[in-house]
Amino acid sequence: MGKKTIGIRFAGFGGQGIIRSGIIVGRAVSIYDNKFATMNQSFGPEARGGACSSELVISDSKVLYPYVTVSDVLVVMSQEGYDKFEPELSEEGMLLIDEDLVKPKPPRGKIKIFSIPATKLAEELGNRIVANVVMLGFFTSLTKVVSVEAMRKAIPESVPSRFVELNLKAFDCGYEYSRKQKC
Amino acid sequence: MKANPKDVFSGTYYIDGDVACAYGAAAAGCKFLAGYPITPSTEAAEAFAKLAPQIGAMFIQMEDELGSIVAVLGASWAGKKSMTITSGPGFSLMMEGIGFGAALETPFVIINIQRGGPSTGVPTRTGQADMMQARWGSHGDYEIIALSPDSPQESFEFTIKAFNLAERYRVPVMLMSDECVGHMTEKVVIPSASEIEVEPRRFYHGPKDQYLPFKPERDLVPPMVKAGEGYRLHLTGLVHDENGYPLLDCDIDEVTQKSTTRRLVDKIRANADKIIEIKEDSLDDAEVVVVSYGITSRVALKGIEQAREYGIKVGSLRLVTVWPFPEKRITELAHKIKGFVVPEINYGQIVFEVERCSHGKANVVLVPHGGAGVHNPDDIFEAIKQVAKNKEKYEGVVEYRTSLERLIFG
Amino acid sequence: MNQNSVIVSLANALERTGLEKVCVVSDVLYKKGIADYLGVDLFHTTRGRTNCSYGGFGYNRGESFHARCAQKKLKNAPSVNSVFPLYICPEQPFNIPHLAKSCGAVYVARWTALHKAELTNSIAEALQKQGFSVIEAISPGEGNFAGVDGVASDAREKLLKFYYDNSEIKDTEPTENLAIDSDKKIIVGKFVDWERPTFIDLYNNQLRHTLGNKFVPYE
Repeated sequence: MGKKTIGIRFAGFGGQGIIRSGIIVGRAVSIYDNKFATMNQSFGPEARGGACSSELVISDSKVLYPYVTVSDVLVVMSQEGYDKFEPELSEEGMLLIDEDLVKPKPPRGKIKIFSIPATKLAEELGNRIVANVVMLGFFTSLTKVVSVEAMRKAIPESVPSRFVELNLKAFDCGYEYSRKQKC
Repeated sequence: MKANPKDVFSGTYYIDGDVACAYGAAAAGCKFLAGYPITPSTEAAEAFAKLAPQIGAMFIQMEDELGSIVAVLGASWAGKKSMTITSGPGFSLMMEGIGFGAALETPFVIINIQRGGPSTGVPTRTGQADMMQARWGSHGDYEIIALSPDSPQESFEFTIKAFNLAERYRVPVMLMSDECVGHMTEKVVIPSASEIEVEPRRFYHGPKDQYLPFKPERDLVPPMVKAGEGYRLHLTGLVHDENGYPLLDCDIDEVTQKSTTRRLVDKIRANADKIIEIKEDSLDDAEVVVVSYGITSRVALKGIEQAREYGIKVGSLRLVTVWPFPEKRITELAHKIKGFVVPEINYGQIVFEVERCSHGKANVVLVPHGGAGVHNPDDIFEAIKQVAKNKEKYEGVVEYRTSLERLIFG
Repeated sequence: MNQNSVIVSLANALERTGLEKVCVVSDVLYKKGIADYLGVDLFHTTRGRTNCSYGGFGYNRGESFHARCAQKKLKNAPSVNSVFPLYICPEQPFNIPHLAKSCGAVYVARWTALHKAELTNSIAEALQKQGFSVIEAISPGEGNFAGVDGVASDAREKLLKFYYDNSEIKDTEPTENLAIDSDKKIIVGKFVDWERPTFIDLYNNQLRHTLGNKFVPYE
């Protein structure tokens, strides 16, 4: 993606690690890729119930406007999140979905849809809580907004130490899944 | 003096503005936080509560904000650098204690993570509408210092600055952050202790029986002692003399002559040049100057970029310290430029200070925002355009109707 | 100098205990010289907000709530029993010792201005206890009744007589029975006296246990 500032939205429901996803990518980009990344998350009643989202603005210079108004990348792991945030996605944007949880409409404009059974893959790895990290592997490979090295450094700092290995495995699984799909 | 390495958690973090405040307070040597949880400031208190037992500090959750602010005052007189953290509704409750603290020339820091709207407002969304309250929200004459950060990194740095100013001038200092900055997560670099300058308390060192708690020394500021060391402190919110004794039985002339009130005001006004910090950009040939603070100064840069691309000579004056206000600099600029654009997340507060200091020499346009979000940079750009193109002289502040407001209110 | 019997008792109690680091936080004491007279540091707070944290000590929620509440209600108490009410006091009787006990006070007592020796004794005892104590002193308001001389002294004598006729020492009375009402005797005495770790002790112990070597105690 050649743009100077990129808006990314992660959406799903509470407990899926949606906010953590924003933190991991933000940390990877700003600390290990030496770019700028501002993360915001949903607060208040909307954060407690079903829908939950985090937004990340990535830029080569200081992020001036901290919110995402039009997203370039939308990563969704729930139908509700899709319904709520799909209209915000740019017509040239990328839509990443957990195919078992989201049934998308035919895409608008030049939107590209990428599907992965993230939750199912996470279950196969032994714990569905890493579904978000499977998704992040998929995300990293497809969007290239963050380097693999940076992500592999940011993940261990963002999860409890006993889950580091599992999370890195989940990341690789998502990353590989996208490469296999391309072949 | 350099920060104590034990208080500084050096490293590179990815944290929000609230948490950054807590690290800043720790690095500044804060040892006491009393507060009551309130959105959107709770993360800051929580983060400090986590650091406190590692640095010999105390976090105490009080019964409310009335109690919190008085506890902070007490801790400060016991010799601890102390602070409280709150948001609008709590800030209102603290006004009484802030006035008491100002009258007793007590150094402490109040962090206000502003939310939108009056009363309970919009707890989880942003606002900048407590700015005038910060200055004179408590009754009677006094002056305070207020700072406004635009990012988590600045939240860390300005919290240290706030403590330093509080100690230097024996005054309550307010860190006027807001929900957007408080809840925004970004990279924060905490340097090593040797790179952090902290102001130690100005303790009195003379003979015990000659100590007068309100007798000014350098910069009109009196040195302090700790309670409990035998100075027989007499501290009262009543108007008092250098001894701290109330001026109840004096005649009017004597009250005026002995009262410390004049100095409460003077110690900030006379030192304003030393206290005031502003960030200027491209003011030399500017036709239009955007005056902003906090998160708005950051969003405004985007509008400024657009205006420059459009070909307007626009400069930026960012208030790092909002109070005291940089009156002289605004007046100076007013003589040279067409007008000021003042975006703020309220319906007009600082803009009237800009107008006052312009003395009718430059147009002043307010770009208001009702809160719960930040400005659309396009609106700031449009307002800059309006000021640049306009040939008439406005009377008073003119309000720029944002695209959203035009949509709603016509 | 203030003639209020509570101040005299406080002064005597301070002398007896010989404590050096004492801070008086009050919303009524403000006259010049009080701090020197008592040999203390004096904080005259606004509107009865006496929950200053002093000497590195802070109250917890319940305690400071109590301090505030008791402070405000103490001023009302005499008017409930006043022999010279302007009108009848319409408020429900208030029970400070019961509130104090439920807030966790380690020492709770109540005396009237008549019980000078007992009051002095209680203040001295309470000052030496760890934790917070509450002593309710029922005394005539200084301005109206306890003036130094003139008309007021007559009223003062009548009030002391009233206390003599209408109070009863009963240390064992459960605190729930201690509300002051105009048709009942004022029960006075020492109702609570026990040991309990202070907030600071609990804080330091708990965190030392949780954090181990990383813990730096608050001093």
